[in-house]
Amino acid sequence: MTGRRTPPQTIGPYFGYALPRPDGGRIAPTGHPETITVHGRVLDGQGEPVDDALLEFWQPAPDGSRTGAPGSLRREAVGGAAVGRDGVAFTGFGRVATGADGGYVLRTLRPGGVPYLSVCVLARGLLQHPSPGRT
Amino acid sequence: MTATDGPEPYTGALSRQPRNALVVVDDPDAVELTGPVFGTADVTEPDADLTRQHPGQPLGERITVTGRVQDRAGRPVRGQLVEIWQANAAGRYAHRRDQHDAPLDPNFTGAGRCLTDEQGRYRFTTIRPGAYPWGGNSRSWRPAHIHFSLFGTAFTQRLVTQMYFPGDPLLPLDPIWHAVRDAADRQRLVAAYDPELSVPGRSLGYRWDVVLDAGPR
Ligand SMILES: [Fe+2]
Repeated sequence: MTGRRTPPQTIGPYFGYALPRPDGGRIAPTGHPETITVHGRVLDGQGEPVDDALLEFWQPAPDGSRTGAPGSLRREAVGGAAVGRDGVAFTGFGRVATGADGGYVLRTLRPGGVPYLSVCVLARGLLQHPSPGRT
Repeated sequence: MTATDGPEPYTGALSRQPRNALVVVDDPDAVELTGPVFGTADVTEPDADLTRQHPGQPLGERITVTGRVQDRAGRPVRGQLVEIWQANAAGRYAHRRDQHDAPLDPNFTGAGRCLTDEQGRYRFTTIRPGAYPWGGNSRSWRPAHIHFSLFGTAFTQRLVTQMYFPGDPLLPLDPIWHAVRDAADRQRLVAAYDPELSVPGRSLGYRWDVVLDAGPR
């Protein structure tokens, strides 16, 4: 027996103070010699930059494990400040808001066992379930 | 699909809509059948109480919003991240692109997060958000709503949506609520007032349960 899922709605224009976090696009441990940079721009159907998109990435670790690890969106325990990653754990998850030119940058390690990163694109006006695609 | 007498549903900018039909991924080895995990390093306890993130109390009607997150088979989604953001009691977001001429509240940011418990429950204390005008038409006001972001155990279960309040007279007029074309599905976005959940003398209780997709077949 399966129920119906809760329907998605547009993320709207105002998620910027709630969802992005420092170091969101820095999945690779600090200074890791095999760090790769994945970068690009989000454009709309008329070729205009989308400056209010949020990209989320999910991938296996280099050894192929898919368990992930906490710590993508760390907060300082006492004061609660968003402090970014610890630079040690490989969490497998990245979250990047686009800039004024629609650009994003992801620094990560090659996924083990598969030739792709899973991507979820969220932006104002997108009404579909944010179905992950692949790069 | 159910026919409605409601407003013309919001479709978003045409330039942002997909031109081709969505492709169903049916790969039992897909990475998206797993998903990111979060932990105590990512969420601190005061994050779930949006009324205690500043030195003073925010203005507005204090509410408790809680519910269960489960998948379509009824299994609880445990230990996963729930994030919310919302306008203040006057209908203003603490976001620099919000041009609505309503006051900011120095004691309210309007962003919260928590992890679901062993039963898949989440719980927030906040204030009821105000309505706000949108779309360049000064007579079009968004009903009170809280934006929700949820993760399941599979990345395909990722859900971003909005929660509404029961009995809001703006709901039948809201193009964004009507972007969900099915009337029964729309009701799934409306919380229920539940005095059992109210904290005596402190907050009004609302229940809103969430069902995430099951992932690829
Ligand atoms: Fe909103």
